[in-house]
Amino acid sequence: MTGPRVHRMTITADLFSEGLAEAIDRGGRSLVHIQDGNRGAGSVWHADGLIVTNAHVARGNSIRVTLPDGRQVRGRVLAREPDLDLAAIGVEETGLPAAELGDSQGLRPGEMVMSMGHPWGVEGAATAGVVIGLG
Amino acid sequence: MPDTLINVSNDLADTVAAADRGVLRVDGRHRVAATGVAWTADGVIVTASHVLERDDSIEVGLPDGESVTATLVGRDPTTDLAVLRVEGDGLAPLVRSDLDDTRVGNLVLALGRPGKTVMATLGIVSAIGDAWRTRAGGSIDRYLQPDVAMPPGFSGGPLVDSAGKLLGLTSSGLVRGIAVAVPVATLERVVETLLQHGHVRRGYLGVGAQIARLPDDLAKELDQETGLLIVSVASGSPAGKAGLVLGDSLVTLDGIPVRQLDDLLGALAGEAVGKTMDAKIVRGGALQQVAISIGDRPTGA
Repeated sequence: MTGPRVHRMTITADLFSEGLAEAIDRGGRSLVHIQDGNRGAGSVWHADGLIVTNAHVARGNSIRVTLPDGRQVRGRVLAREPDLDLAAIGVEETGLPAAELGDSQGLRPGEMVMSMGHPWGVEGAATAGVVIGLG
Repeated sequence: MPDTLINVSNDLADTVAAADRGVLRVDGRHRVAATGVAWTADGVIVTASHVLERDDSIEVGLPDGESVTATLVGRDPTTDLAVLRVEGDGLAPLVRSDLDDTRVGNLVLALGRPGKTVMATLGIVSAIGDAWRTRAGGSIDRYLQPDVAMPPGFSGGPLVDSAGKLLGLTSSGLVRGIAVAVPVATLERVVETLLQHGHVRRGYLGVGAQIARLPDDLAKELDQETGLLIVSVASGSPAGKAGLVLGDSLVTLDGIPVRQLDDLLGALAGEAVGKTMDAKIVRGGALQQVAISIGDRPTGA
């Protein structure tokens, strides 16, 4: 007796799909959840407790942050730059998984990019698309 | 990133770069400019009709940044297509593809140039179907629906496959709320007609009509529940000349049962102009036959 047959995707599409999941997994390792005021996502910028997020997300001075390993800690807003919609949050931690930085200078329209966050409370959700255009 | 993903990503960016010169900015409205597709090297451009709010002072932005004035060759609002012409022979038309090798699930890119640079969104083919008729009565050879995002100004731009071949023209003006693409077969047909006649010739009766139930005995006899009740007849129109009057119900035209407006539009599409068609009408409860010489629908009618 054989079980139900599963259609196998072509090797390239299979690898493409696996590649997407792998890249999202890697990107998600530095993803944090900001849970005060305006909820949102953030990224570990430096292993010694520096997190970046949007200025419109980081409202107030003391922020509840869920770290990539699931622990909840309090963070302090170190700086806000509303013009760029950026904020820096400090947490009393070391050894956090910092994000690997890419280079947006060489990007071309059509290149694949992924975005991660926690929409409607869905933890670690992702979307994939291409760079629409560059100014 | 893993190798395959990097390769796919680079391939997609290469595809966009290769198609770049075939994607043009079309500025014919007050809001953000829209997009057009280079159709022939010697200056023919296809775009969406609904993005042209005016018939003259249409500007086309070329990939090198130059802006030139285009003339409107013609438009067909029923398929939401328009043809423009610019001077010169420097356009880079895209390679066209019929949909024979395209399947649901294939990767596609929508391209646009509402500003100076080319833009792209990625998706898959969501649906491919048979021929369909737009709400305005236009005939589209295949139904082609991608799940690409359509940022403002993408209408009139190309939908290309992963090899950069033109599959169709995207329009967010044909079906409310979703992007559909007008396939190459329809583009070729409509562009040809517009270049020849300046408008798409569609048969014209000159009546206003609405669906009406037929009397039970006639419905049984014709095996047809409804016909079209004539509620207006334009003076001097083909219907007027044939003697149609208010209160008549049209039940067949050229042998085709007319149960609803779509059926009438279907009977009047194609090569109807100039033909004399037999029509069955119900007048005073009885069937009659009249011959109607089909006219050419006036522009804007």
